[in-house]
Amino acid sequence: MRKYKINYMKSEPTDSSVTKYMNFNGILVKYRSITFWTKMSYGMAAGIAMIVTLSAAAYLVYPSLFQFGNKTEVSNDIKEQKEEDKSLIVPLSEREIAAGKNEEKEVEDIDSESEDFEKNGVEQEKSTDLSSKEEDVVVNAEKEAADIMNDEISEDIEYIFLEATPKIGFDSLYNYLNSEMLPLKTLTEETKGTVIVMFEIGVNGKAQNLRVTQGLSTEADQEALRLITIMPEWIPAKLNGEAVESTMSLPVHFELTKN
Amino acid sequence: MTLPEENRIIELAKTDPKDFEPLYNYYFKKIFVFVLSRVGDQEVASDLTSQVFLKAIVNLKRYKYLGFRMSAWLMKIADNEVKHFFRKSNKVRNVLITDMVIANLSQTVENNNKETLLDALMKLLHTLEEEALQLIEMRFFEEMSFKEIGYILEITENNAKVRTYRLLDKLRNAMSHEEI
Repeated sequence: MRKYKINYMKSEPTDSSVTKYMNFNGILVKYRSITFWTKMSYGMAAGIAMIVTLSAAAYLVYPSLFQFGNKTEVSNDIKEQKEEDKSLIVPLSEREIAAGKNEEKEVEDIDSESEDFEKNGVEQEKSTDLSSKEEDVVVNAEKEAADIMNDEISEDIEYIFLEATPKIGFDSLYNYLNSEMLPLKTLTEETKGTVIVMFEIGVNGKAQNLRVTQGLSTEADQEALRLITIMPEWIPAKLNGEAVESTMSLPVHFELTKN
Repeated sequence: MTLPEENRIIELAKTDPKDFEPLYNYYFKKIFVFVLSRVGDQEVASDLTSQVFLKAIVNLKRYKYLGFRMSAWLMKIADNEVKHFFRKSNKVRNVLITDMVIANLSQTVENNNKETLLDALMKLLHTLEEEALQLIEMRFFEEMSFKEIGYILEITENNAKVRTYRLLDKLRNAMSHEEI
């Protein structure tokens, strides 16, 4: 027996009960946020790549420019310049672009204006700091987008599920139910049939939360519930070796016996 | 919605996702019921269904007409989405049987005794593996063609047919057992 919960309904849900869940605009909003982040992340990646290439090119052409006197000097300069040069406080993204695009030009001018070079260094350091933070956000969004893009045909992972089984086996269980069944007073040729009882097999192997999913008559339902309650213990279902609750349903047949 | 109409809308929606709306309205119920019959909870089904359509819109550029309606493609996404849900959540897989399933089955196995059929079906379903269960569901509940079933389960059309007929044989045997 598998871990399935079998439901019986006369017909499938009506249109009105389904349409209340429709929300196309909600999907469009989600779609836009995904595509936005995908585009953003490509833009960011391109920007970062450009900065890296330009600085590498600058290093190749003018290697001497990259030999900083020492680092502490530069960081001191940063503090001074922060106070002195208010013009540095421009929107960060603009500065980033400026750092990327104007670098080559600035690098050429640098021989004559050494101050300029220092500014450039500061800018570069700051922009890498900034971009690493932004990168985190972008990477997350990228992952999310990639998940959705690649998830369409997902691969199956190892997933071992063992269904709950009666300790005595199914055949013996059915025999047991038949032998324990008390004769019903109200059972006639018209009212005979099957009661289906749904129940959970807990981790302790005992049936709980019993309910009748397909009833016959009050007496038959009661008897079926009684039988399922007194039945022997089960081996609980196992997910990757760990006992878990599972729902089962069992049919109990009520037939006329010839006396 | 006719097939040429559907394909025209798909082409439009590839450039502007807003144009997808008629397809959404047309297929929502089908996908919702497909998911609901398996997960058994309306709220969960609603979430998963919107996820299915979101993925459909995101991946629409990759959609190619393969000879059947778009519902098959959507159901394939829905099938993956449902499997993913059960892998993650450890919930119990549902199977929905309606009078339509019984009617379809009884026509195929040529047995009109509803009760015997239902009993035999209940017992049979419990013994089935996921894929065999899907065959029964898709053929008799979602009423798909073998070609579509083959496409969704990634087996050949013929294989889907053979396996379904074997299951029906099992069902017939179980029923004749019941009747004795």
